[in-house]
Amino acid sequence: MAITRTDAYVIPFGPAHPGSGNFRIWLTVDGERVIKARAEPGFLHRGFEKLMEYRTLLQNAVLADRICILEPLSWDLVFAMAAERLQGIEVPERAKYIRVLLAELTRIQSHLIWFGVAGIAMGFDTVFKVALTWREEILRLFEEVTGARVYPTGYIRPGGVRWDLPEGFLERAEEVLLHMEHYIFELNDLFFENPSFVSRTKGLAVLPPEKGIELGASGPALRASGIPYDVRRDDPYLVYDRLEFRLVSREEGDALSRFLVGRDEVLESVRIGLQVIRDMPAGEYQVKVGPFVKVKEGEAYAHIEAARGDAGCYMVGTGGRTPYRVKLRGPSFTLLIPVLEYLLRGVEIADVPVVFWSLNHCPADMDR
Amino acid sequence: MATEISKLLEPFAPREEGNAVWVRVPLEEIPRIWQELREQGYDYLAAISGVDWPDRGVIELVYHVWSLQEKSFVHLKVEVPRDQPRLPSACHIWGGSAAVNEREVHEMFGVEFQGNPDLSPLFLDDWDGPPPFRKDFDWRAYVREKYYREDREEDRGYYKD
Amino acid sequence: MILPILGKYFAGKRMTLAFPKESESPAERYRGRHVFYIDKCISCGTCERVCPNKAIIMLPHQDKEKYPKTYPQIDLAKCCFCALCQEFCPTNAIELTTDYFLTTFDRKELLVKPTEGSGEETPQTT
Repeated sequence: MAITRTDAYVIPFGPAHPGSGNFRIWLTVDGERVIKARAEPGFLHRGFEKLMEYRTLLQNAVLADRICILEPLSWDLVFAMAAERLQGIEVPERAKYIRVLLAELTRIQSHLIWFGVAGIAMGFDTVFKVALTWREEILRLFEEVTGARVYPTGYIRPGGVRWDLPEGFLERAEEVLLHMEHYIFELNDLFFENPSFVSRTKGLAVLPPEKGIELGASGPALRASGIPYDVRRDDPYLVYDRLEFRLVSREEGDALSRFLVGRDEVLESVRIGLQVIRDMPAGEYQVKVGPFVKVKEGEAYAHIEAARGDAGCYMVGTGGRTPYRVKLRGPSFTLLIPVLEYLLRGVEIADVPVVFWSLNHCPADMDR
Repeated sequence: MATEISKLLEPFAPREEGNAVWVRVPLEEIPRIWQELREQGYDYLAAISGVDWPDRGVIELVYHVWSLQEKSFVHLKVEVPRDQPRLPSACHIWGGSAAVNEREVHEMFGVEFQGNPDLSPLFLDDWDGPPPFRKDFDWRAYVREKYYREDREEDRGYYKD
Repeated sequence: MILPILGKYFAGKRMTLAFPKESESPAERYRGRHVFYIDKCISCGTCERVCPNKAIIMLPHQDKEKYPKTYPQIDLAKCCFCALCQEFCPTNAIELTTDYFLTTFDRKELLVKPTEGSGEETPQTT
C-alpha cells in the first residue's frame, strides 16, 4: 500500500527531558525534520520583580543571587551597581578589584558547567565529570571568601563587598587560575578537537549577524556571528578600562564557533584574574549602607557582561524604604524565545539538544 | 550625545547622564521618533519596562535602546492612560526582541500593543485575575487565601503585619 | 595514549574521602546553624525586621519572671542562612556556627524556639 499523505506531528521537548533544563519547546516535526518550534517558558517564574518591591536594599541584595543559580555573583553585581547609581554611592578601589576577581571566577565556573551539560546532551558524559571536578576548586575559593559554595547571599552589596578577603587568599586564587588554564588545554584535546564533536556541531544552526541583533541575542552567541559586542569593552564598568584583554569573536556563527568562543573566553578570564591579583590595592572594602536606608527619588539603569550575555537592571525609587520598581533584563529572555525558535527550523530531531545547549542560556534568568 | 540625536530629541528636554540619554516623548510623536532612532543606528532593543503610577493615572513604558556603533543608550519613556492602555507595536522597527518584550508587558500590566501578531500569555498559565504587576492587585490577600493558613504555627509570620 | 593518563590518575592522590571517619571541615566563615545567647538579648526586634524571608518572629518566653520580654524564634525551613541577623544584632546575641548537620525527621524541630540555646550552650556536632 503506498503512503498517500503525511501529517506533521507535535512533540514536547519538555521539562522532564534530561537534556532540556526547566523549559519546554513544542516541536512540530515532519518525519525527522523540525518545521516549527514554539517555546513555552514559565516553569521557573518566581516573580522576583514584584518580590523586590517589598524588601529594603540590603535584603534585596540577599535575594538577587537566586535569580540565576549558575552565576549568582553576577546578579549580585548588577543589582548593586543599579542601586549605587540611584543612591549616588561611589565604591572604594579595593572593592572594585575584588568584585572583578569574583566576577571572572564566576564566569569561568559557569562556562565549565556549560561545557559539561552540553557534553551530556551529546552523550559525552566524561566531559561533565571532569568539568565539575575542576569547578570544585573555584567553589572552595568562594566558600573561603563568602561563606558558602554556591549562594553568597549578598556578598557583593550596594556600597562595596561584605567582608575583606581572608589571609593568603590571593595566592590560592592565583594557583587555581593557573590550574584552570591547564585544564582548558586538557579539555581541548578531550572535547573541542574531538572529531565526533566537531562533526556534530560544524555548520549547524548558523545565526546571521543582522538576525542576531534584531532578535536581541548577546554574549557568546552574538560574538560567534561576527558582532564584537561585549559590555566590558563597549561600556566599561568597575576597572575593566584599565585591564588588558582580547575581545573574542568568530565569523562563522554556527554551533561549533559558539563553543570555541566560550573556550577562548575562559582563557581571557584567567588573564584578567591574574592582572587583578597583581594590581590589588589596599584600602577600604565598603561604604557603610544601613539596613533600612531610604531609597532616593529617581531612576537608574546598569548593565554588565554576565557569563550568558548582557544582563541589566532598571530601578525606580520614590523615597520609601523599598524600591518602587525593579526590572531585570536577563540575557536568556531573548536567547531562548525568539533566537531558539528561529534556529530550530529545519534541524533534525537528534540535533535539537546540540543547538539548544550551544546557546549558553539559563531558563532561570529568562523566567525570573 | 551625537548631533543628529540631539537635534531629534532637543524639543523634549532630554536628560544626559554619562553615556545615556533619558527622554520622555508624548504618545503621538512615538512612531516618528522610533523610525528616526532606528535610522540613526539605535538598533538593539535591550528591554521594555513598565512602571505603574496609579496616583497619576498612567502606566509608563520605558524603551531601553542601545546603539552598537555609538555605544550609548537612549531610554525612551512614553505614558499611556491607565484605563485605556493602548499604543502601537514596535515589531516593524525592532523585530523579534520587541515582540517578546511586548508579550511580557501585556501579560503583566495589561497594556495592548496594536499590530503585535502574538500577545498570548508567556509565564502564567490559567491566570484569571487582574494583571499582577499593577499596584492595585493585592498580592498579600491572594497569597494568604490560597497558600497560608492562620492556624498553622509556621505561617504565623505572614499574618503579623 | 591511554596508559600515561591511567598512570597519572592511579599514582596520584585519591580524591574521595570515607565520609563519617574522614571529612573536610568547612571554612571559618561558613554560615550554618544559629546559636542564641539569651542573656545578651535586649529584645529590640532588629533581627525580625532585617530578615529577608520572615524566618524570625519575636515570641514571649516560657519562663516569664526570668525572661519577661519577647525573644526570637527562628524557622530553619524559611531561613536562607544569610547572616544578616548576626550582622545587625547590637549585642551579638545571634551567631552562625559552622554546623551543617541540620536534617531531621520531624518538621517541628525546625522551629527553634527561644527557650532553647539559653546561656552558653552550643549544639553537638558529630
